[in-house]
Amino acid sequence: MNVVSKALAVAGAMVILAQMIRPERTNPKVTKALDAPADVSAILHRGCFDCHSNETVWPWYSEFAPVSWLVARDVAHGRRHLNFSTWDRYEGDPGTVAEKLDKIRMFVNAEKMPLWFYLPMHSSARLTPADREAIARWATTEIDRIQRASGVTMQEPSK
Amino acid sequence: MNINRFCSLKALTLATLLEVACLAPAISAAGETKSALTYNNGAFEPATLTVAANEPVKLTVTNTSDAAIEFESFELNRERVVLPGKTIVVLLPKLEPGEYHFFDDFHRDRSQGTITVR
Repeated sequence: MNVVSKALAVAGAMVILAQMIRPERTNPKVTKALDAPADVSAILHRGCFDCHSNETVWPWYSEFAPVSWLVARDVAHGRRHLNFSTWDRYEGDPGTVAEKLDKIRMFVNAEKMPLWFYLPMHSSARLTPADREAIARWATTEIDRIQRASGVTMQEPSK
Repeated sequence: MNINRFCSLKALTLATLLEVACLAPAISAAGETKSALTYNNGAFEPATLTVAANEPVKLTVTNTSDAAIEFESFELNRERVVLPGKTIVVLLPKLEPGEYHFFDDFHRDRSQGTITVR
């Protein structure tokens, strides 16, 4: 067996062994879904929900290591920062809700979300300028409403 | 009741009273705990806060530094920007006993703290 064959055999064994380390791929209960107009909700579902909700559609390739590790890590990271399925957990603090909305508006406007490496395998998540505008308009309206209702003032409104 | 048991009960009662006394100034009549954090020189002061369990908390965060910070906690589901020289109020729900970490998301590597609920 030459060196290349040995290297391939070792790599193959490592890939097989890697399959034994299976990250958690769960969709916990939705405690309270975000209440947004139907058109905005549809855009958010299409572009954001795989990483930012408990309604992740786990793709087939997330079954196989090491991709499974990366996908599980990205979803966990996304849910930690913003989870549309547990919106009630933010609602006790109007300032936090406004902040989350401001971040959504900022990241979507700057085309930082959805993440570039997510799009090749999820072309439907690609947001058009009209999609981005609809999200920004909705977020701005909601922030204004929250500020009027609660008296909270955004400390650093993003454009 | 023997003398040893009496002394240990007395010590326990004293300890409980002291603990309540420590928490008491922070608890308002409405059953809401008020607590405060100040950010300066890259750190939260105090770095560890203790609040009572099962009481809503009104947490005041003051930024006395010359840069904006973002008070954030994944466990508490809170995220708030605080501009230099400003104070914000973060509302927390009734919390279960435990430890809840928070940090400044703009300088996460050096500015962290813990809210201990008991």
